[in-house]
Amino acid sequence: MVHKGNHLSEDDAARSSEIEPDDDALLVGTAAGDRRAFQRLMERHSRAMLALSQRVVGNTHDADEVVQEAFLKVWTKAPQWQIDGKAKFSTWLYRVVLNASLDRLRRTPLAPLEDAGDIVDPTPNGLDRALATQRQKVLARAMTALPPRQQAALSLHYFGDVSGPQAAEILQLSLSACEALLARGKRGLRKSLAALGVTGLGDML
Amino acid sequence: MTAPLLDDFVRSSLPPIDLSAARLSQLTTSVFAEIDRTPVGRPEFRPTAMFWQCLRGAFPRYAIPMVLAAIFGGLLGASLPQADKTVSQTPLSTLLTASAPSQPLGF
Repeated sequence: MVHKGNHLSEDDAARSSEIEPDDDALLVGTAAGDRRAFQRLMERHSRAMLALSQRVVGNTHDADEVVQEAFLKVWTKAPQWQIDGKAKFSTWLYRVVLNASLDRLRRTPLAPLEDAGDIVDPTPNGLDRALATQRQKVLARAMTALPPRQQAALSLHYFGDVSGPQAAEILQLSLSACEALLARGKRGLRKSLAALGVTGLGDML
Repeated sequence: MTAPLLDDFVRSSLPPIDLSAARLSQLTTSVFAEIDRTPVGRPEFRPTAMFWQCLRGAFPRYAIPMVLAAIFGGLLGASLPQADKTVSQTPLSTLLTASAPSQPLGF
């Protein structure tokens, strides 16, 4: 019985993966007010969106707010979504979350770097975390000195789990233009970090 | 700083992110609570907006220019010198009477 039961559950799993609706189908359901479809859409994309937003804004609270607002926008705009195969939902969502996160980062006053705090946890993990936090503060400061488009390209490259072509699509650029923008962004970031006294990993130790 | 060093620096500055089920569940709950709390769930029913929408639907965008063009054309036509009015026109009934034979032909 157990053996048969396992087979059944595997079959069920295979069947459910076969009929797993794509984003467009879930959006149609969302537009019709189907909360389960909307919840499935959130479950599918919230991890990637939270990760991107938190890495851009640098804290959990703002990232949660940004992603929450983005999903509220999805719920509101779902009836207007045009399923024509030209636009991908995930691309649109990435764009919304990225822009909102960068806006949030620009609006948030950055604390002076001297206030980054002393390392209070002497354990190896604690030391790593403290160093990462300090580096993140420096990085956020250096990033905000860059033009918005370069910030967006760098954020997708470093913080978003997206490929080059997908990043180009999110930024509404050709692949070559996106790569050029990223190269300019990296040059700008190096200069910006150098202006803050960071020329290598050792400077933050 | 070279490009690989920059990449290392940025990647080393990324703190671990809590993507636990509890956090995701909390996010979902907050979104649904916000939907229930505010009328952002669906486009609001606004009578004034509906009125203008219906009006726009009833009158296509070219209707107003056409009406304006007709009025302008009428005014222009009325303002032109009307020479024909100075010529006295004989009423049609007079012409018929005048041309009609007073007596049957052949008598």
